[in-house]
Amino acid sequence: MEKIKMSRREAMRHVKFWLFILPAVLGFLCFSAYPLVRSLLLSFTDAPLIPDPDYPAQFIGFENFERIFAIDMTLNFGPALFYTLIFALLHVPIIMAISLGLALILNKDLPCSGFFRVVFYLPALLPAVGMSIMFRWLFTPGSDGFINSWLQSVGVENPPLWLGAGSGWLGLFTILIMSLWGFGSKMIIFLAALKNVPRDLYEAASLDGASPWQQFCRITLPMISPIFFYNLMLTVIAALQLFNESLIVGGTTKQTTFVVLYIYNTAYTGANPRLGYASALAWVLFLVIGVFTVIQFAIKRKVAYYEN
Amino acid sequence: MTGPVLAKRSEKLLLHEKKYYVRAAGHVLLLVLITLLLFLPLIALLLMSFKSDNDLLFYNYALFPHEWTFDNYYNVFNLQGGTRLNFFGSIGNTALITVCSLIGTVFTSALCAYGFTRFRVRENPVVFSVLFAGTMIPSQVLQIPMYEVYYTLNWIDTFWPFIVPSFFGGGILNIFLMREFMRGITPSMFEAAEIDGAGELRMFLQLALPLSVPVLVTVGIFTFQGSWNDFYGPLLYISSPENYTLALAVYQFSTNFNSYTGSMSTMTPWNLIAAVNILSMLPIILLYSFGQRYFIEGISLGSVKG
Repeated sequence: MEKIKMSRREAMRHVKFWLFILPAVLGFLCFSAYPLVRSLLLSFTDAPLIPDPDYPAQFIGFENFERIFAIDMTLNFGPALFYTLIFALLHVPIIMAISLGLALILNKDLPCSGFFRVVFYLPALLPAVGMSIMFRWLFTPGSDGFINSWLQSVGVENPPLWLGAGSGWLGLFTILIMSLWGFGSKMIIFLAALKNVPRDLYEAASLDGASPWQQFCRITLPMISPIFFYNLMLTVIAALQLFNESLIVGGTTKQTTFVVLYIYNTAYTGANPRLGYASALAWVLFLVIGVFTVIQFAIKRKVAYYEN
Repeated sequence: MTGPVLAKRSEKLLLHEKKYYVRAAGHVLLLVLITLLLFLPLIALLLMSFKSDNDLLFYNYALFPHEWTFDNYYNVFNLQGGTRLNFFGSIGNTALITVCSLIGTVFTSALCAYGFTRFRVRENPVVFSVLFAGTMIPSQVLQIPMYEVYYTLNWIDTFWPFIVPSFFGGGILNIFLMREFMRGITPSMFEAAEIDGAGELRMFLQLALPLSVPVLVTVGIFTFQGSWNDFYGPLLYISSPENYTLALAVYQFSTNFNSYTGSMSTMTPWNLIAAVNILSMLPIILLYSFGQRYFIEGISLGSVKG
C-alpha cells in the first residue's frame, strides 16, 4: 500500500515537472526544433520568400549546395565567408586581449575601479543601430563625415576613404575598429573569473619569487581557463555572425559584406528573394561555426584546468 | 639592535609603497585615457545634436557647436514634409513590445526554472541539456523558416513575432540564470510549505517568486535591453512605417533621410540624425545608471556558472 502511494507520488512529481517546464519545451519545439528541420528541408528546394500558389516550391536535391560550392564560392559567398573569417581572425584576439588586459588592471585595488568597470560596460549595452549610425557619421568619406572633415580642416589633403566605394581593405578595418567598442561585456566576464582566483596562490608564488608574468602564465591563465574558453567561444560565434555593422556601415563593398549580410540579402531583399537558397547558405554557415566550436571544445578539453 | 633593522624595513616598505602609488597612478591614467577614447564618439554625437544647420554647413569639423540650438530635438518630434518620422509612434510600439516580452520572459522563465529546481526527476538534466543545445543553432538558420511560419499566420508586419516567443520559456539562458538562483533557496522552506498543505503553484507564486526578486530584476533588465535594442527582428518582420520600432525607425530615418525631411539636398542632416540617435540611446543609459549592479551581476553569474 505504502509503496503504491510512493510511486504515485513519484509519478505526480514527473507530471508536475513537465507541467512547469511546458512553456520551454513547447518553445523549443516551435522555435528551435521545427525551424531547424524545416530549414534543412527548405535548403533542398527553390522556395521563394513569398509562396506563389501557382508555382509551389520544388524539391531540387543538392542543386543549392552544388551552386554554393561550384559558382558562389568565387562569386559572392566565397568572398563573404573569406572576409568574415579575416575579420574574426583580427577581431577575436584584439578584443580578447583588450578585455583581459583591462580586467587585470581593474582587478587590482585601484581607486575608482568600480567606476571604470561601470563606464567600460556601457557602450556594449547601447543599441547596435545607434552605435553603427554614429560610426557611419564619423567615418563617412568626403566633407560629410566628421573625421575626414576634421582631417581636412587641419590640412590633410586626401583623407583616407574609410568606407564605401573604393575603400577596399580599409573598409574592413573601419568595421574592425568600431567592433572594439563592445569589449565591455567580455571584460566583465573576465573580471568575474579573476575575482574567483584565490589570493593566497599569488602570495605563495611571490614568496617563491615568481615574477608577475610568471604568475599570470602559471596561476591566472590556468585558473580562469574555463571562463576564458567560454568567452572565446561567444566572441568567435558573434564575430562570425556580425550583421548590424555590416549592413549599416558596410555592405557596399566586398570587404564589408559579411556572410550574414549576404544571407539576409539573398533571403529577404532584391527582386528575387530566395528562401531555399538562403537556407542552404545558412546551413553552410552553421557548419563553419560548428567546426570552429568543435575545435575550441577540443582545445579546451586538452588545455583548460578544472578543479576536481 | 632592533632599531636600525626596523628603520631599514620601513624604508623598504616606503619605497615599495611609493612604487605602488606610481604604478597605480599610471594605471588610472591609462584607464582615464581609454574612457576618453571610448566616449569621444558619443560626446561628439551629443554635441552634433546641438548644432544648427548653419554649423553643419560651415563648421562640420568642429567638435563644439558655434551656435547651440535645440531645433534638432524640436524637429525630431515635428518633422514636416515627406513621411513623418513618427517618433512618438515608434517609441510607443517599442514600449509595447518591450513590456509584453518583459512580462512573458520573466514569468515563464521563472515558471520553468522552478520546475527545473524543484523536481529532481531522472529526465531533468537531460531535458535541460537538450534545451540548452538549442542555443547553439545560429539564429540565421532558424529565422528563415520562422518567416514562412509568420507569413502563413499573417503575422508579418505585426508585433506578434516579438511577443509570442517570449511567453514560451523566455530563452533557456534566462531559465539557467534563475535556476542557479533558486537552487540557493533552502529546501526546508518548501517542505514546510508542503506540510502546511500549499499546492505547487501557490509555492511558486508565494514562496519562490518573492524570494527570487533579484534574479527576476536581472533577467527583466536584460530582456528590456535586448527588446529595446532589437533590430534584426523588426528589420525582417515590420514593413509599414506606423509599425516601426525605434531601432528600425532610427535606421530608416538615417539611411533614407530625404524621404523624411522632404528635402532634395544631398547634405545629410547629421545634426537631426544625431538627435534621433541620442534620444534612442537615452532609455538604455537611464536603465543602466539605475540598474548597473544587476547588469554586472547577471553577466558575471551567467559566466561563472556556465
